[in-house]
Amino acid sequence: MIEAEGITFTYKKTNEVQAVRGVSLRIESGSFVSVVGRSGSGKSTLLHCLSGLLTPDSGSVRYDGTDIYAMKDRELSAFRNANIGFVFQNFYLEPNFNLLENVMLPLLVRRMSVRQAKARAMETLKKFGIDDRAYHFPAEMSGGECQRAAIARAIVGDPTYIFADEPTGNLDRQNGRLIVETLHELKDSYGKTVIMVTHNEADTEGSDAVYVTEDGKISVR
Amino acid sequence: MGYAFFVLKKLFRRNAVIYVPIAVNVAVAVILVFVFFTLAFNFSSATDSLYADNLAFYTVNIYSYEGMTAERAAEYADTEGAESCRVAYADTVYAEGLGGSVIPATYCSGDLALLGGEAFAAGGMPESGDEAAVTCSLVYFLGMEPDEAVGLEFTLAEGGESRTCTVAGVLGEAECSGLNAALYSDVLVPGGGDTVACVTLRFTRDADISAAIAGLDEEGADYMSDYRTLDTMRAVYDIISAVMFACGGVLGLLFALGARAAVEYTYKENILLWSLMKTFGGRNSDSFLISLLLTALPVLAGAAAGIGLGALLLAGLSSAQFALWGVPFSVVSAFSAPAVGITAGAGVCVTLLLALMNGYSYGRLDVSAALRYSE
Repeated sequence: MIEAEGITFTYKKTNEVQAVRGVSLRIESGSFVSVVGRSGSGKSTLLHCLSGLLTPDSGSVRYDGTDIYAMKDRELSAFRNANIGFVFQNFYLEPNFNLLENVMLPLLVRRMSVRQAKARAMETLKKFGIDDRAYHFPAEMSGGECQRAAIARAIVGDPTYIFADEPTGNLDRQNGRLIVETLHELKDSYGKTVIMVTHNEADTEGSDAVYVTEDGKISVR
Repeated sequence: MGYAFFVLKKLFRRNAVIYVPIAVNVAVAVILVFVFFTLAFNFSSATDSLYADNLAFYTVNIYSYEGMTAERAAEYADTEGAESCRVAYADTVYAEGLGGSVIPATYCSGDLALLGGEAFAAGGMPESGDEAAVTCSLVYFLGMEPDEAVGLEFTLAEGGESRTCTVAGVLGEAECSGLNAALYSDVLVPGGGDTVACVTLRFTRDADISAAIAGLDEEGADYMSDYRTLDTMRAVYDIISAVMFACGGVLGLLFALGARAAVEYTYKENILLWSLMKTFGGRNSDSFLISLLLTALPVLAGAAAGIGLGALLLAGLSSAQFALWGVPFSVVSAFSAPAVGITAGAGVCVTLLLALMNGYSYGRLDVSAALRYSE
């Protein structure tokens, strides 16, 4: 279970922009939660705060009672590696790595041997039906295939939580639908907790909870 | 480490672009050093040749027992415009002996220090006013071999008094040539006056000094011409040395800037990977290691090579320059090796610092912002 309490985050580099204002929420394990909101409403920042990528100015984020921001960098890194998978709007596949190598990355970070990582990554790609593209580079793939590869990378380490930041944002409606279905399948078949940020209302269908962000604040729909 | 090398291998080609300027920098340093030493060698050869073919001849051929005085010598110097020869007759005394000849001797203790202990064809450095060093050319002029001259006694006549001197060493030809070529006196006695290059006048006993001076007029013109050429060559060499030194400095500065740019480039170029690694739980130390290996080692190797060569260049310039300033070679050589080591070491440390800065930048990476930046 994820519990966020009074999270606040302000971008300070240029003009001060308070992107998240005192957000508190609770996400049950094994649920599918959607966060919707207009562009600039702070939903991605909230996602990054919840997933341990962005340290909030104040507030806490607890995973099963453990405050992740009280951890040292090394502990938080290990926690992310073991428990959290990420899917991004722009896929963020390393262009110099082929698909297989991209999917291997979280396992290599975990210190798994290259050989073992390769075998496991291939197995994961097979689950998503893109193992035949394993040695292709991202530039040679369609958007839908890239996003499926990104999802494969997110779950290859068998994390409990999947954070998806606008995973359908760069896809056509059909591919977008397929990706959302895949994320739902992760919850239904593998018991993963999925937190998805989207600006597309249609993607929220079937979610266990839908949060709406506006001006850095959040409300439950 | 397997993971680090896996990533390194993948990134090498993308980052290879930073190795090009480093290679170019090193190549330029090598060329600069090569040009410098070639230049130095050619100048040295040219001045050697000039000295051996012409100037040496004019330094050893006149002697006067009765007729030569400081006043007459000054007259000769005026005749030849010898102020540019730095003739120092005030220090000239007369030595009698050495196979019956009588020769003028010039106290040039500074010259002895400049020549050091390695310049002797036979014997060694005179240690007191009772001992003297004589030149090879004088010994040959007297029909002797250097070994035979060592231990010979002769008389120094000065101000109506005389004292006996022993030849302690015979100076070789080599040290009286090259970039440091100077017109040494044929007899050098410790404890003398200033360090000056002297045209030694030697006359045959009872010679007609007026006729000898007249005879020298024509040759003297050639001599002065050669000497001016030598001076010009030295001046040109000084200018070129200064230019080369400036080039070395600019090169070093460019290298430092280039290394910093390379570190920044690789950091920015690989920011997506750094971000992903951190996102997926990579430790700062892992990425630090990779960035260090990726950027630091080639830069470090390049810097060591470049700065090492630069230091050699500096040392080369310095030793030539110091010698021209009259600092003994033994002193320069004693300091040049540590100087090279210290300079190269400092360069390596600076570059390592740059690499550490890269690692530090990674440690402070804002993944959220970095991911957006990488788009």
